[in-house]
Amino acid sequence: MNPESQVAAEPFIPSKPMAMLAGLLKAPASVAAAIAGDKGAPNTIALLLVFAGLFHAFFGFAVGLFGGWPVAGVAALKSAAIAYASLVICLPSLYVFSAVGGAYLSFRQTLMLGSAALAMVGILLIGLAPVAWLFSVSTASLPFMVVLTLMIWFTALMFAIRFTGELRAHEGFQRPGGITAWFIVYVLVSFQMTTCLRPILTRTEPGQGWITGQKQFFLAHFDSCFGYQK
Amino acid sequence: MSLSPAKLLANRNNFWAVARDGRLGWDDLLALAAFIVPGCAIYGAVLAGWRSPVLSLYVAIKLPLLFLATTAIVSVFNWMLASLLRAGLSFKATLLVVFASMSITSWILLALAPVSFFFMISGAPAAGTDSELRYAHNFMLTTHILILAVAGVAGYAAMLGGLRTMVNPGCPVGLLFVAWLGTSAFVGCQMAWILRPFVGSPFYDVAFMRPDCLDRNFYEFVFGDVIPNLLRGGL
Repeated sequence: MNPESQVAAEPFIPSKPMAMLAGLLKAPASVAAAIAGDKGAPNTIALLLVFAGLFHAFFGFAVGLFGGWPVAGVAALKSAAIAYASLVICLPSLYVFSAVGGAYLSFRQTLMLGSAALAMVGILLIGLAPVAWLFSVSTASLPFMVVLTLMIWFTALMFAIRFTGELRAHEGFQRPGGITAWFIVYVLVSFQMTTCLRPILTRTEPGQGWITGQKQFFLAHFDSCFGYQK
Repeated sequence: MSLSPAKLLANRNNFWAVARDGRLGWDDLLALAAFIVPGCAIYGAVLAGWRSPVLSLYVAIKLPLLFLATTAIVSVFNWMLASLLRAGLSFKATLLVVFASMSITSWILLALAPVSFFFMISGAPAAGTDSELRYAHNFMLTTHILILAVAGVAGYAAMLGGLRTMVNPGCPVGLLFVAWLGTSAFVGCQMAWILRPFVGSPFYDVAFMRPDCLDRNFYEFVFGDVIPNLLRGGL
């Protein structure tokens, strides 16, 4: 056995923002150790949230170019808003689901885990933003863009789920099944939040503001996206 | 010894160990009940909120009532069955296991209440065509069924864990659990049928209970209407 594998990952104490991002990307086990040990610096959560918002906004801008520059600017704001609002709505369920699943997190740990997962999704979205941009400026098909955006987002989510699995190496967190199940809730809430803040990729109808303001469920909204012609 | 629902959530194994040692009293049972009632009431208020504030208030009363009334009806049978299977559970311990699992269910319902509320305010229209209202009703109904199912499964999974810790060696835990689950489901379905409406159809007037709630039972409806209709291909 490799002796290094027996050494538990040192808790990652972020002091500089870039070092923290590097930790999420290159040593997620260390960030997981910091969460499990509740050893993050006081500004850790705030920094993770700021970066998560910026990354989501950048990705939103890239896909929003499908609808032109004004749409891209609004899509950047909406993407960050979707990420933040979905996390806020889902934080109570992350707290309860993790505990019921057998991995009890304090509220601060819950917040740190949620922020880190969001930042991890954001990092992956940044990595795939050039791909999204390439297609957003070279297609007129909204259904294609919707499918592409969802594929990219789900890919990023898979890595966030994988990151939460790193908690398994720590005492008291061997059963993170509740946290994995929580991602289903997060996905559904994000879909509905996207519907609530629609349209993301296209202009609103004349006379409307940035959002349509009409109530609709996400299944009906995504269904309508597939009948749209630019 | 006092264990709050918060401690039950944080460390279930410790809760069951303390319960097995007989260190939990009636005050602990009351503490769990005092958590279950507002927990279910809050979710109940959200559950019917899309239909009307009045129905929201009614369901805030009816959902805890459904849980507690079902427990009240099956608890003596649960205790007798546990005794017959030599589980070594007192009546108080029987109630404790059931109330603890209900508390876990209530935790899940409370945690998902903001999600449910968000779906309600962002997706369900207050007015619209029949088709729009029917779609909204079906979507809300499906959402709540899923949430209640998840909460119920989590609660009963906790109950199984608790029984495994608390019963005497040699007691068939699986049989005891399935019997308790089956009895609760059998009675719970009928209780829910009597106490309907919960989600509230937009095509019926708002009422605390339907006027015909005692005319026939849930199983008459399923075996007399639903299954024959399915077998006829919906004709």
